[in-house]
Amino acid sequence: MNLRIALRLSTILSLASVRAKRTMDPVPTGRFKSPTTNLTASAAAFIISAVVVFFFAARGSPLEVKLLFALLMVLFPSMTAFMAMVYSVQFEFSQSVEATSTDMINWLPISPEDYVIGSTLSTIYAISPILALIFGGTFGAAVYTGWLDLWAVGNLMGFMGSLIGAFTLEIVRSLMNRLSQALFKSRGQFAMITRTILSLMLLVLIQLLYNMTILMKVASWFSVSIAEAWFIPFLWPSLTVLNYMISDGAGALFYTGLSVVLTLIVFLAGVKARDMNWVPVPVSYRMRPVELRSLRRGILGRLGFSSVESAIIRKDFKSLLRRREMLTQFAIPAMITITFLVAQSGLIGGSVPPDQVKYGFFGMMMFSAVTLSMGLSLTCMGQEGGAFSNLRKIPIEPISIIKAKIFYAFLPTLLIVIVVFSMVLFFIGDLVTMLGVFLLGITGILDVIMLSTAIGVYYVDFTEVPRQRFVKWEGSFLAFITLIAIIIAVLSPFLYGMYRPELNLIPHTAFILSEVIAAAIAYVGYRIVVGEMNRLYDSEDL
Amino acid sequence: MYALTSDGSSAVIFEGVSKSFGDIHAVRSLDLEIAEGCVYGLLGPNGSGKSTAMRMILGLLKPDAGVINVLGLDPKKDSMEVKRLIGYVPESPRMYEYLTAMEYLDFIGDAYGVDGEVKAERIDEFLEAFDLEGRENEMMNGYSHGMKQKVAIISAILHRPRLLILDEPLGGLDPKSARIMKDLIHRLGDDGVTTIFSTHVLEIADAVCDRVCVLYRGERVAEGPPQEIRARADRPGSSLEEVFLKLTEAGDVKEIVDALSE
Repeated sequence: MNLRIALRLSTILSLASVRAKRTMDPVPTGRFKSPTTNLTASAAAFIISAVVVFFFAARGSPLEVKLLFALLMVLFPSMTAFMAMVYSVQFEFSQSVEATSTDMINWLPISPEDYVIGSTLSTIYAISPILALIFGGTFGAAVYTGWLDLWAVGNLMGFMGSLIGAFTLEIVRSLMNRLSQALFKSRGQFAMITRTILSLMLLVLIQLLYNMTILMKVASWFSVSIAEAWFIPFLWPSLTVLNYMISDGAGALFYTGLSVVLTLIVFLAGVKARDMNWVPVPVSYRMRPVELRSLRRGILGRLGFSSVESAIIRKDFKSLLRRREMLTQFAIPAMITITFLVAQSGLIGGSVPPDQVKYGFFGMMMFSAVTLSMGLSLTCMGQEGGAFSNLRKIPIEPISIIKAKIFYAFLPTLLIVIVVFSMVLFFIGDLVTMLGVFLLGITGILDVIMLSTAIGVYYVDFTEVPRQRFVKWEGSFLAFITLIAIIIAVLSPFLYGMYRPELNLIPHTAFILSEVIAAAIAYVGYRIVVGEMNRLYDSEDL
Repeated sequence: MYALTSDGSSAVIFEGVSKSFGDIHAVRSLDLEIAEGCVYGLLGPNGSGKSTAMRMILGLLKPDAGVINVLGLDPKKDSMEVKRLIGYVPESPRMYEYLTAMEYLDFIGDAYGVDGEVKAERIDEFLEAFDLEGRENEMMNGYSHGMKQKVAIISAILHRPRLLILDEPLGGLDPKSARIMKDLIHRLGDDGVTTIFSTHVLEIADAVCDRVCVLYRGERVAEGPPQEIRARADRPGSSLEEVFLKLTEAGDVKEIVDALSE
């Protein structure tokens, strides 16, 4: 192992985070010059969150603050591992197999050990502002409670948790490469769907391994308390903190040792996995022959789309199902929903009553639908990558591209919403109310799609190497804020109705007002997105 | 100019090497022996197995059958050592475009363990030779295809490899850089560096290569010095292009051209 090379590589990979944007000045200067941006942001996040938490802790009940702080410290390693995993999964999926297989790292004399360390450090670098936010916040609470030693132990284990999460990614990456190779011998749509489902299952499984609720439930199967669950490796870092809290020095030392061993084992497994499946083979699925049809036929034609719009829609759906980097659009909503469902279902024996689980599940499904619509619309333009220039070369009006992209983002979401409302209707009843809610839900999703598409076009990022970005981070952040603003705006009549019950706005007047607001936002959003698309289409900077 | 193969000084040996992807046979029972210092051309139409063979030399792909020996090493077992001895330019170099050329080459130099002063000296020398001087501190995402290709070439020769593998190296290069590249290949050959390169431009193969191997559907259909292949193909006076078309069963292109122009 050559630590110097590993550190050098981690710097190089970290630079990718700060130089995503192609600036007018090709020579990197200022914050683009070196990867110190995140470190500065991390320092600021640490100080701000420490001060804010200290201020709020001082206003709360000392006992409650202590309890919350102690609980957070025990959960910390599991949380940081989860964060590192979610970030890494996004990073992993946004790399196309083709790009990964032709990555220069493959032929440089960089050993799997050096690569795994470099890659892991760059992952931690990328999430460092979030880690610093948590480190700082807990530091504020530690200063208030006087438990600085517990803070140090908890954060050390938290850092170890993030290492375990990031190392685990290397195993996931390798397994996915192996999966692609195994399915290479299969053919057609079936192989592709199998790969998608297996990849999602793999991710969900890994997430479940780090889910504290599930780990605690597994411990309860063996009728032991969490403190005695020494046989569950992923609990070792948390058990270190727990033993330290109860002043069991020997126990804390024992679990620290086990945690270090676990980190080393995951590291070595990551190295071995990378060594075994270092370079993925780009999979070439052989599909059934295409039936060449005349223009304007098919369902899309009957729905009023022109032949060129239909062609773009079909292309985008094929891309959604076939490109590995598009899997991320499904992966995160699916991970959230399935993890919630499994953690709370009767199968695992969740502590939440069945009715609440049912509502929670419907809520999660709707949340997934909204997340999916936001993700698809935000990235629909950026996914073209360098091929966007092809769209500009052929005679397509910008409005046609936008119509196709909006339909592409809308259809999968519509299908999920129909499934959710059918289930709600079956379990809860009341057709009229449900149809009303369905209508409002659909209009709200259209709002999200229009505005997210506009943001995705404005902040479009056609970068393809070392990974597809689709949209700049400022765009992702703005889309998230916009999503919250849309929810507040659309539900404002209901919120106002609750604040002023004497006006009797709920449900009918509030519903009509909400629908009008949602429709207005959708219309304004459409005008904005058309304007943005025209600007992008005529842009000379591309 | 280059060493004979029988004394064990071969740079690359393939013995009955096969590689398949699913039901696609990329390389079939391929035997090759490339002497040290030789400029060796891999010729063949698209999908004939050239890039797969090159990637197996690098140890990036494992052969399904057969043995590969690179500079006395097994590329799968001694992967790191083999990579240290090789310089590689892929067909479509995917470099870290958010880096400047200087940052990229600095990193590559470090990865190959090139000493600081030597690294700086070589980078300056190559940047000047390939007309990149003055642009080295710009991020590569603003570079043209040819400029990226030049950076990829510099990164492959920066550490003075013993074996240089170039997959379509001259695509996108301007005439001056292409000429520099050809001269460089010859000079490296004189210094004992073995070069394997694939190309579709047969005049280049004719002018640069000591030996060529024509691959077709993963199989070797001819191997030897260009003039010898011409003679063997019964076309001693014809160009390598005609020989190539004959060997790859694309002999009579006139019919195709006629059909296309109708």
